[in-house]
Amino acid sequence: MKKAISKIIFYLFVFLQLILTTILIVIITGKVYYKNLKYANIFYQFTNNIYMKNKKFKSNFIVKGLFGLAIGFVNGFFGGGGGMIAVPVMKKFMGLTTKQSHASAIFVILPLSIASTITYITTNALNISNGLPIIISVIVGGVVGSFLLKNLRSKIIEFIFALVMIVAGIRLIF
Amino acid sequence: MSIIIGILAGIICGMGMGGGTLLIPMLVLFLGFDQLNAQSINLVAFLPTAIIALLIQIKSGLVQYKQVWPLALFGLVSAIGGAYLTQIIEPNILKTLFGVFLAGLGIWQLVEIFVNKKKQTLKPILKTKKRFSKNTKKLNWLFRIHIEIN
Repeated sequence: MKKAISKIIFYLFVFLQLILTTILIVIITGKVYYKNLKYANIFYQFTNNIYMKNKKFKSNFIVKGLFGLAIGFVNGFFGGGGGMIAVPVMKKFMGLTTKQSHASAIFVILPLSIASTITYITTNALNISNGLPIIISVIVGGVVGSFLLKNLRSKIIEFIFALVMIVAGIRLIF
Repeated sequence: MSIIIGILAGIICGMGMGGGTLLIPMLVLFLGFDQLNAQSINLVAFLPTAIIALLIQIKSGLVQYKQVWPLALFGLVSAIGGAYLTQIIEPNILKTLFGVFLAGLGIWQLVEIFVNKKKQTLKPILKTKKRFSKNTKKLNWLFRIHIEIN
């Protein structure tokens, strides 16, 4: 019985995500179509954003809200990764620079993380006795990383990082 | 072992590359944590670093509150909803979905790296096309694909 319910919820979730992305794409294309470039199509728009750089593209309140819903859902459901979506969204759909979008992403993600942490703790998902050494070492590593290794970031490291992510993702699936 | 993984993830996080997304799979695959516990550990570990980073960024004046506040507001609602959904859904399905999410992010990042490389060479070609009639713009993405194949 419980299995059946969770299966139904799973399919509902997939369905909901499909609808949400469709609405998003329609709104974005609609806005782009009528206001910015009258005759460009959506594939062109996504493959290169030269036009967006010329005329600063800014999303309206509803589009921002939908993006916010998506970011919040990812951050709550997967316990992280909201920032990796927030930064490119801000860069491409709100006309912020890279530095601005990195700074603003933290501002957006922090309240979401606090809210979802409280939810995780109240539902007894957190096992603090296992996690304490890891939490402390992550904080130490974070301080070290932010002071020492800003200059090491390059295309090659990002490439390796992406590959590791794909491999880890596939390992988790199977 | 757990300390090494923690410090490694922290350093990646400090570089601003989303270390949390790597901490969770490392905990699950190498140390045998369950998915939910790993996620909540990641969230708790992220909080202090994020607070410090936010304070630094506010001082630098780069945070665009006016443009960004709707994201935070709507996100708050669905963050709580998403966190509750993890309780309802089966742990194995959660793990699979996280794997899909992670692989998708990785593929997207790869695409981003390669597209950015090619954009430089494409820019002048596309700019000349802008002068042509409106109907050619419609086919610009086709041209782009054609150029890429070449």
